[in-house]
Amino acid sequence: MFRKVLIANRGEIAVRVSQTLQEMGITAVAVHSEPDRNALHVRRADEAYQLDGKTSAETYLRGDKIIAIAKSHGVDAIHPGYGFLSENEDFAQACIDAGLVFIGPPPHIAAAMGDKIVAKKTMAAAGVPIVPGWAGEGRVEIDTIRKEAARIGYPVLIKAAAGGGGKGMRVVNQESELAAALESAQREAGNAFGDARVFLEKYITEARHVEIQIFGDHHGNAVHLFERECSIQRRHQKIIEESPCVGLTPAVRAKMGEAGVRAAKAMGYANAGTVEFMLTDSGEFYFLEVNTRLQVEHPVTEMVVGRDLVRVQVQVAAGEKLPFEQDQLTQTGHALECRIYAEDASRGFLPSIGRIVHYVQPSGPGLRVDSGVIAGSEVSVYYDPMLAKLIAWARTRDEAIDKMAWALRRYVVMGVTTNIEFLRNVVLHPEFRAGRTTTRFLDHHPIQADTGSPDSNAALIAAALSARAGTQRLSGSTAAVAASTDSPWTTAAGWRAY
Amino acid sequence: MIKLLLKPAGGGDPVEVQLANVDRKSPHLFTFQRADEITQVVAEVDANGAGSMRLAGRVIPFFSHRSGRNVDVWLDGAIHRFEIVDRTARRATGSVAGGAKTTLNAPMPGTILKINVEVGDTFSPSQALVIMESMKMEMTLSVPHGGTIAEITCRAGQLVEMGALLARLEPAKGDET
Repeated sequence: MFRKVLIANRGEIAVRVSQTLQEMGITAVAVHSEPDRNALHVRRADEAYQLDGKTSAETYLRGDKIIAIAKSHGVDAIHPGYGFLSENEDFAQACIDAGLVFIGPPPHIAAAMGDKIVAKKTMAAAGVPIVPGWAGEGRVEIDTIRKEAARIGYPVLIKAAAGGGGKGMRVVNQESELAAALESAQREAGNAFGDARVFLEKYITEARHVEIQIFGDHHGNAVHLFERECSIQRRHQKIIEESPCVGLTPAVRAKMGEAGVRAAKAMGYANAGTVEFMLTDSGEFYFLEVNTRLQVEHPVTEMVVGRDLVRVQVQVAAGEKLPFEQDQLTQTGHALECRIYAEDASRGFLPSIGRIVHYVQPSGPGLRVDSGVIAGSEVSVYYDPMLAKLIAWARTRDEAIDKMAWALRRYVVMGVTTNIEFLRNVVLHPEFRAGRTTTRFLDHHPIQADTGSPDSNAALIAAALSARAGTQRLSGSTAAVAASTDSPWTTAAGWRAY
Repeated sequence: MIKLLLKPAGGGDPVEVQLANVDRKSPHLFTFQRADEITQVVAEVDANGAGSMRLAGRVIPFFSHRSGRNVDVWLDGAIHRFEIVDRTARRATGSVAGGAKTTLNAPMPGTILKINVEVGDTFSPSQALVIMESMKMEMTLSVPHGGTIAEITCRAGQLVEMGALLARLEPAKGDET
């Protein structure tokens, strides 16, 4: 087993990975940017090394610098978390070349699955249902595409082969829109990925996003750890996830799980991965893509399956066999996860930056918070504004929703605007409770950004007390501003008033 | 005593509120006034803005954050944002008044122990006018300005409600604001 593992990430996932490493008796090494030097992921690590610079491009995306730090401090393996370098096959290969273990699937799998056309073909060959569509080879004529789109049937979706994050993606409702949409998708894909190849898919308008957690080892074993439903999305990003999915019958669940395992075996998959599907109302499911990393929403699987997925990742990367076989895995109870973002739901989910002045996370039976922040943490413009994940587990979905609503109501974050009230409005929505969720849930059901509670006497009393307290002591806020990392006050060096 | 004009950040009319410490011996006991509504509250807040109050039998924890004229309050899972558009603060124990008052009201429910003045008497600022007992505590009621007693509407031994009219006052000239 490894003695020392470097976590090439920040925020809640770096904090969460370091906990498992430390539980396993492994030294956890953090890397951090300049603004993150006092971040929670640094405080929780056993060792920490700075990456000079502020932006992701200068710091957490600098694989060369991270590998150099690992090599000079006796690190055995690198855990990439999610995002940043986690699905970068060049980084995975560079780790291996430097004599380090990359805790994730082999580089060729990340490369293959990163190409959406290759991924679809691999899945189709393995007998995994794919969305009806068409992908041409090389340069294709518009007439061919027009013919294929008519065969698939409108509406169709144009997607970029190297795609992600909605870039190079266009919905085409009728033939007259096709040529213009194709041109603009190719241009956008070319600019974003340096690869203008696109393909066509039947556009499925109403479906659940359901994904299967898969796990393989280096001994040819592969299992699935059931599904997660991640239909509640804003700006093509998930914000609420759960397991089990209420839209799955035991028969369809079994079929999806088997499809996941077939996909894993077809790829020769090792370590943790996720096979994403669309699930229609009639129980048909179609392959979307494979994520070759630990997912943000992995805690809901951990809660219902009762396994620490990071521990299994480390064990598999160290060459051990999977610690379980398929028939030893069961789903127990129901888990929900809400992603707590520093963003303003009333202004198009615009990220909010600042210093967190009050931070109290809920706790109690059945609750888990994977947080990257504490009171005093600085939320900067440089990184993703996700602060934490709140996970609730209970015997049934109804009880899990009750628990989640209870917890969101007691989650205190002040200093930045968060989506906490918005999330509570979603989980309390009768259609969410009824389990009628698709990826278009937030289009169909406009959700208020705040709870809309009136300014009660209690709120006015609290405001008056706060105003009154301000007159009785010297303001602490000046000191807080001066201590804050990226404030203009600290950069105004040499400016002094006597 | 603090008197504030708080403007809800989400829109709506500014709300005038007053918060007064009832008795120096009980620093956490306040009367809160909003329009004609007077409420008794036990509350405290720490230097960071974390606090708790007891209001009409309910325990209400809260968090507040002040930056300049803006006050944010977290209460029961919701953030309330206010702008302080106007404020006056004054040391005055046992008085709810902001400007010169034409009435003396009971800041809390309790028993009138003693009335120190009679109709027609003149009084000076902060002079003890009425002494009452509430929650086994004695309170001296006064107003920050001088004047004349126009009418007395309570008697010793009487049980009064919060906000009950105890006396009508004529503020001394020059004290009317």
